[in-house]
Amino acid sequence: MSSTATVPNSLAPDRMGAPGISLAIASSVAPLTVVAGVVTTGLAVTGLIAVSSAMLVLAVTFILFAPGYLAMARHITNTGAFYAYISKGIGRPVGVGSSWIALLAYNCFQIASYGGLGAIAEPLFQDWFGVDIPWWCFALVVWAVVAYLGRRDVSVSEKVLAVLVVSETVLVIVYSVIVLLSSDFHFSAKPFSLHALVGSGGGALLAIAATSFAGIEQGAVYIEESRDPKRSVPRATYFTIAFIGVLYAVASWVQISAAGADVVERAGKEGPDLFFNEAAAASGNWALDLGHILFLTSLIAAMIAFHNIIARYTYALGREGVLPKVFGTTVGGAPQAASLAQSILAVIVIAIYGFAHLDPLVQLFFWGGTTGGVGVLLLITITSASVISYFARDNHGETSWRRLGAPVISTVLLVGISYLSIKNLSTLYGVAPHSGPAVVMPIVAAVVLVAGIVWGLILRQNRPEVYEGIGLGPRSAVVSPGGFRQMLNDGASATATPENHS
Amino acid sequence: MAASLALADEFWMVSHDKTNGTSHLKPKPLGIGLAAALLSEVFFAHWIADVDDSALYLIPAAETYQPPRDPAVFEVVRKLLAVQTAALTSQSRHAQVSSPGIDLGQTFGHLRFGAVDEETQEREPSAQELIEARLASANLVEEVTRGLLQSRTAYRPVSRNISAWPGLRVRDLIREGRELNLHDLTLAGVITATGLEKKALTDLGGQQFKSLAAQTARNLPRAVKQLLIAAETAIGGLVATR
Repeated sequence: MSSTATVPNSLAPDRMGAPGISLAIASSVAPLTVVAGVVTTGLAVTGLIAVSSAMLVLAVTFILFAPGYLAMARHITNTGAFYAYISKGIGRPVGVGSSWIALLAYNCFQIASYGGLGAIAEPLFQDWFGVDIPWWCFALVVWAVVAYLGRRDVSVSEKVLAVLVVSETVLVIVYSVIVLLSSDFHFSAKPFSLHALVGSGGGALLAIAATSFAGIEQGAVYIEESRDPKRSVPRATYFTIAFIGVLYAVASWVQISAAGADVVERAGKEGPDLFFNEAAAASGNWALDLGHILFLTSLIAAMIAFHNIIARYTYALGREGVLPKVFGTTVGGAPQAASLAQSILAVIVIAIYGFAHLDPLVQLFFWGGTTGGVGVLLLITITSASVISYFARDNHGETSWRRLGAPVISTVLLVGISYLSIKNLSTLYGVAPHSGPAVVMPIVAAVVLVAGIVWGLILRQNRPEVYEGIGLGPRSAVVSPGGFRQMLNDGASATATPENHS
Repeated sequence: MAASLALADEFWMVSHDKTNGTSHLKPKPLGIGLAAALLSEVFFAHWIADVDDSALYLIPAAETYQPPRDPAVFEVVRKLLAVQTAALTSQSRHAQVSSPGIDLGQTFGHLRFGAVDEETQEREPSAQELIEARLASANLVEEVTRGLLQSRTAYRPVSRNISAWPGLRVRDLIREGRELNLHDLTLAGVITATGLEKKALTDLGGQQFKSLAAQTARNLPRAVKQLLIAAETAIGGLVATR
């Protein structure tokens, strides 16, 4: 093509502007789950309280990560997946390895939510109806719903997610103000201590903060549907990161300041109720009930959303030949095999936790969530480095700040944060140094990464046509059986007659 | 053989329930499929000269010809001409290229969502709206109101005989191993590109699909192939990232 016409101003109202994209990005983070669930459990498990400073450090780091990431997203396809960036920036074998890590991390998030849900629902049902049902029963009921909806590819409507995230945000703000104005509140500067982050165990806080921000990368997905990809998507991304960063930092600070000197003990005893109890102490028991309801609904919405993300991600990988072909098939437009695989994995984990009487809140929700968080942190770190190497070969008309300045600063920060997080895994999990998950998880991650890289190299050797398409998503030349392009290829090879040019 | 409807109308019939008119496809893939079918019509009406990976090219001096009579094709051609004119004006300072390409992704975008006219700020109809209006004015479908909370207007075929015909015709032709004309071959292509073949082209064996594939590769014009590839790619992107 010699010259391609694009008319920048002929825009449709159905397309998304910055506010709509902000809301869509925010819908994939769960503010109440973070403030009431992740922060309190984090306090209890790690015993560290410099949460607010960790939140702000991560917010700044991700804002610096965004310009390069979004600039690269405008030049590649399959923008929803980190491995697409890594395949293009560093190389396809590392891309395959990181796609497998991503799958692992997303599964950690999704399955962890069942623990959080069960842990909240169990005492709640006792309270409201006086019946004692074990946590895994609630988990299994919701699992069945998620599996059913996922099989049919029914996702939570964007409107429902938006309503949930707005009400959660409002609730966090209102409760924070209530607690701030209550008599329990005693100013404490400790949550904002930067010094504590590099001190003993501080890396665990950075990992918790990274977990809290998972989902902010979603903006890139909306590039194709946005009115003005160069302006509205970055604007929405910066705004959302800054907003939730401040929200998390302030809400954590208020929560810790109001809990008194024994905040770590209280967090351990009260769990996710700590935040709600503080608000309830100042304003009445309605605050507790309302908080519980929103906590549950947002967890369920997140589970369905994450299940669908995993199913489509698995589908995309199956379609490209990076995972077995069976995952790359759809039935009636729904990636059923991929959905079924995720459901089976989830029910196995729930069963193991149920039979072994493990703690759903700490050992499933918190461990799973933060493990997923560290996984995503590593992916973002590698992606950030990929941006530098991608633009080093060709500047693609991007400014030096977007292709070099911001990515270099963010990569340095991210490498530091990842290092501190991994170094302090035992603090993060609340176990003795070099024991349990603190040893197992890095080994699992390393094995998966290396296996992925090896698989990528095998593909390069044996199936070059699959290898070429890695990271291209739907534009990959290798498509699932059936489909129009497959038909064209079949037909062309069968007849071997030259194409009929019109 | 009974006369067939316009290509996009037939795809509408295939992609919706024969009786109650609910869509077999989700809104986004449906919009892409209808856009591809309508663009194929514009091609077969001799307005599009060629399509490549990223752009489509109108025939030379397209603006000098009498506009198409079909209302839906008319709207699409009018929009394509407007985009081309805008591109020519913006390029006038540079060396004039004979016939500038029109961005394919943007064209699909316009047809899926309906573009906004720059001067009047009015929204232009989407491919789906154009096709449904054409079907309604030919009394092939009737309006129904759907939805519990937010009622919206939808369409239902007036007759099962009409709505079932396109899908059955194409399926039977393939089943009998016959040569499909370009109209039916394109319809089969849109059906495959939108993933409706399991629903519409049922009970076909491997040999019959092979014959369809061979005909598609051999006979379908390059421009239509490119349009359908673009549609399939866009739909693949939806499943992967939505």
